[in-house]
Amino acid sequence: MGRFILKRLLLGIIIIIGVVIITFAMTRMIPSDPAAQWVGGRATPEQVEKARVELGLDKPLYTQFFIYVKDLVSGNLGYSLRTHRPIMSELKSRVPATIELIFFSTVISILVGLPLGMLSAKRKNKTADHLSRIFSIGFVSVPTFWLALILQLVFFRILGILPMGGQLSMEVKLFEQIPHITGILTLDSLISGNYTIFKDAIIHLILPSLAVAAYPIGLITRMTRSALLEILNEDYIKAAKSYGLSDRLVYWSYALKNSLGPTITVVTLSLGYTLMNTFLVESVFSWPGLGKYVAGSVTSLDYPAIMGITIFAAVAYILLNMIADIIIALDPRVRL
Amino acid sequence: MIRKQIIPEAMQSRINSFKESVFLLKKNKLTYTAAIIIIALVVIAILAPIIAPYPSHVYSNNPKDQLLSPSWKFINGTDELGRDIFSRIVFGTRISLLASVIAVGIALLVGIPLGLIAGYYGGFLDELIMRITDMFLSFPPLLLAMAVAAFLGPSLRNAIIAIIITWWPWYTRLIRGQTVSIKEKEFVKAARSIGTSSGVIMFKHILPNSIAPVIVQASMDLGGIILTLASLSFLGLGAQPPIPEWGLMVNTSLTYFMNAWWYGIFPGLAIFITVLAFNLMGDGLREILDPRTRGQ
Repeated sequence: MGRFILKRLLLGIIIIIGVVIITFAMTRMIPSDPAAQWVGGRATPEQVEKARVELGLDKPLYTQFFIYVKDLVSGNLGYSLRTHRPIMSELKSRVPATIELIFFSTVISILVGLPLGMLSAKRKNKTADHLSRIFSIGFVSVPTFWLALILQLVFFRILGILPMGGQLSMEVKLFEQIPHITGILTLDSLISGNYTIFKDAIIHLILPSLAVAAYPIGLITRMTRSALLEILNEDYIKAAKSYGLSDRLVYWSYALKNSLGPTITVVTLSLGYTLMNTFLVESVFSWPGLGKYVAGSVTSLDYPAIMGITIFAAVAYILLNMIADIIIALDPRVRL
Repeated sequence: MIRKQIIPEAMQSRINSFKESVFLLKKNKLTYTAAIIIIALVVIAILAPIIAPYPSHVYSNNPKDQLLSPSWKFINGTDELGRDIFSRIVFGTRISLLASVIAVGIALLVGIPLGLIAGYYGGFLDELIMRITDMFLSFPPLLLAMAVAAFLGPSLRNAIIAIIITWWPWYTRLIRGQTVSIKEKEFVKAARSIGTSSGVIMFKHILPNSIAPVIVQASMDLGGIILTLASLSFLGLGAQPPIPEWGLMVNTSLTYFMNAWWYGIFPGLAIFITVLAFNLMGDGLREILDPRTRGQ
């Protein structure tokens, strides 16, 4: 057990080192000169040269790599070419909004995907199963950004019952004292007991969360179905049934418990997709998170910012996967 | 004499299994419909200049008909430059289908040999190649493609390169797993014992016997790659104007969306239908070709 966790941690570190090497290699592939970009279009050659020294681009490649790694370890992701501010602090101010979105859409996708997958497995090859198959493949195939547009069109433009975008309405922003504790708006308003803000924040969360949740709903439904079907085929389930235990007991207490491992794996896997989908949805709903920052960095070709987000998201994803693996390994039947 | 009898028999079983697959495909209505949609999409892509009512609108502007809502004249409406959206969607079929076939093709060309080498030789080479694939696969999906596309500079070609860079490790893994299980089989040992070279064993004996799951995976990936390309273009990292790429069309529609809903809805619908068809097809194919679910 301990050995497995240690091994998994080591592997995680090796992978993170690999990710850092890949990202470093990418920063050196840039077709344009970062020093020239740093000082802007109208700079003299002397100014560009000075920037090159300031940015450490005049040193040999391996020295640059060590400086890069040292900076990363101390949490320094460099400076944005666009705003000239440290990328880490820019990310920090935007992460809470994205975490909020990821959290709500993951809750929605588990609440919808799990029961749908269970239903599908229980009524295999019946109408309910076929319907859930069509729905889940549909959810996986729908372009997230397009779904976001449709939700906006229907619920804002046509029905007029939900806001178009943003985190709060204008009135609330103007007249309420907005609390800043964790940066996560719904949580902060709950802690400070301001229900006006809480209600407004939730209303603004509905459409973006639904749009982001679509893909993971499809994924979780499919994977739960196949995991359950595989388990329902196992000998011990057949044995339990032949003892005369009721179908319901076998299903709920034997099969479901054993499909927990695959389900945790799927949920972590789906978190990766959720993160990327927030990138696509945030610009549609003007959600002030990482995704909007990415879109802005991409249009202005702000390479250090793009790199910072890449490393940040990759490391978060690797850590999540590691945690999921360790949780699954806590199951005594997993052979280590 | 003996050969004459054995070969037709072996062939017969293969023909039967092919016929059975076709039968299963026809019985599975959803997969069958998906297959028909895919064939239709290919036909649309090939005949685009004939099907599109205004082929000239694909690249040149038509300022007198700006942002018209759908009508008999322009069935999907027009965009901010007065171009017929339907014609542009029809030409976009070419881009999406071609791009995803190219991306899958090259990813297979890179991934398959590496997987064969890793699985066949084992040891240090295996460890090295598999750890490299681990690193590529440990990025959240789309993120690596996004970063690579941004660093190469936004263009359709670079987006395809970025997709290839993120996709090849899946095929390497798949082929490696197959190779490891096949290389201990009798026929491989026999080939080795008569002095066949490793290269011939890998490509002539192991590869044909391990390719089926890769083909299923690749056919499923076609849809995923179309979606990824559209997402990259939507972020501004793929095709650049005036290329009629679907994701890019949705992106440019954002500015006008509240007054011109048709502009973003129809290109997005095209992405949805295409990706859905490929995913249904892949799902069905997997069920048909998987011996465990075949009979059910």
